[in-house]
Amino acid sequence: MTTQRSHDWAVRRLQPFAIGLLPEQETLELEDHLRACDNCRARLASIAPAPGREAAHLPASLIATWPRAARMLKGIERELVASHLERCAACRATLEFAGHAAVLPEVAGVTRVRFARSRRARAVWMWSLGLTGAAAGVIAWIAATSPGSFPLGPGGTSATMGVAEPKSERIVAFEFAVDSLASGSERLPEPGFRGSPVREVDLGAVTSVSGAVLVVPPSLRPPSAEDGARLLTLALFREGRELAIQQVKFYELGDAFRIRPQGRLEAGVYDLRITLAPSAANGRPLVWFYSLRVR
Amino acid sequence: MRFAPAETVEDLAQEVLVTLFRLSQRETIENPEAFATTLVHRVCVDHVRRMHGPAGRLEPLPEPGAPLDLPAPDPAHEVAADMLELFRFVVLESFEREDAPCAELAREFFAEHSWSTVAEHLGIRHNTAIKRWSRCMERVRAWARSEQGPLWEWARSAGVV
Repeated sequence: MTTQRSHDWAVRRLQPFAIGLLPEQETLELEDHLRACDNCRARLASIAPAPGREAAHLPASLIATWPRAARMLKGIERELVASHLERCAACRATLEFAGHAAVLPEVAGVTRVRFARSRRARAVWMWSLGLTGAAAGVIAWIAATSPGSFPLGPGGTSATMGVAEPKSERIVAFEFAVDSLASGSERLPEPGFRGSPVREVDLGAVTSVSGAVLVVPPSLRPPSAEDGARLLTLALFREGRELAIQQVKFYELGDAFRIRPQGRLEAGVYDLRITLAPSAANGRPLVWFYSLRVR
Repeated sequence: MRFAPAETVEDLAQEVLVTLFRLSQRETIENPEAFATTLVHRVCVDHVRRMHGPAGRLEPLPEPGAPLDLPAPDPAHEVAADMLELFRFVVLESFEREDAPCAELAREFFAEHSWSTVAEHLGIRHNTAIKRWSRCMERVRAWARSEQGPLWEWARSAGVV
């Protein structure tokens, strides 16, 4: 490789290097090049964070153009900016110094739908909501005590226990076979059987960034390949309302699974129900319960 | 920058003032006039380089005193915030909440831009620092490949993934 080509190769990698995205081997090679190349060192120095513009706080350019720039934030970066604002008094003070409210403006392109309701219509709507909530609670109780009452469809997943899937997105999703050594993972205790209590599992804050990783106890792992093929259903409830339900093969659960919400889970106690289909046609399913505390 | 739009000049002035405010909150600024001049030059240069596209920040710095020519604005690539700084913030913030060791590596590296120096500060081997960092960044790499939005589109356009 000629010197010129090496230099061009290095220049193209300076930006990913500066934000830590360069792969291991290329990082080593680039650092070798930087030791000998004044030009690359100067370019790198020109994109290093200057005093007052460190990575630990919201970028000054973001704060300076807050009404426009913050509206463009979506997904993960929006969530991180929001959570940073909650805990960083310095950034809130800087926003206020710049003449902006220390809150995220709405996302660009989203129009708030406002509709007026008559008093009578409001009363009917509230009554319907209450009835729906009560019905959901009853269904959840029946399903919890007699899991076979609502057989799942052929697809293996049912968000609504047999009722047609609503078009809206689920607010919580399960992810399976995740790394059990993920930071912040919590080990589920050996389960209580058919309602016998176990200690509450404290998850802390649960957000869409990393969710909550739960490490599976030994009794929740298939003892044989045959058992691995049995269907396992996970369901998450809060105050009787089903937030997520998903069915997988027992072996697909893995050493750990993740609960990932959209946004942030509200603080409170959630019920996790895990149901293992029976091994024989006339057998009874096994059901485990966990109580999860979110802060 | 004499012919820059008024809104751009206002944004850049605001950025300078925000930076000065931040610094003034934590330390006394020695020779504020000289510092402000340097800061204004740096902010303007960074803005002009950003306007040259996602990889524009790596262009050579202009000669001292040379006029800064703004390229014609490209609405398809117009971004108000500095994406490089925002990306660093996102990386560090994602670790700050949930992964203290990775956050420590991020803070050190973004300040030093040298894994040799980071390794020395932390009392670990150079290769070890890079290996640990590579594991820390797996999730961010996945985001950069798959997430939508201006920040991640910038990352893909700038060739950082």
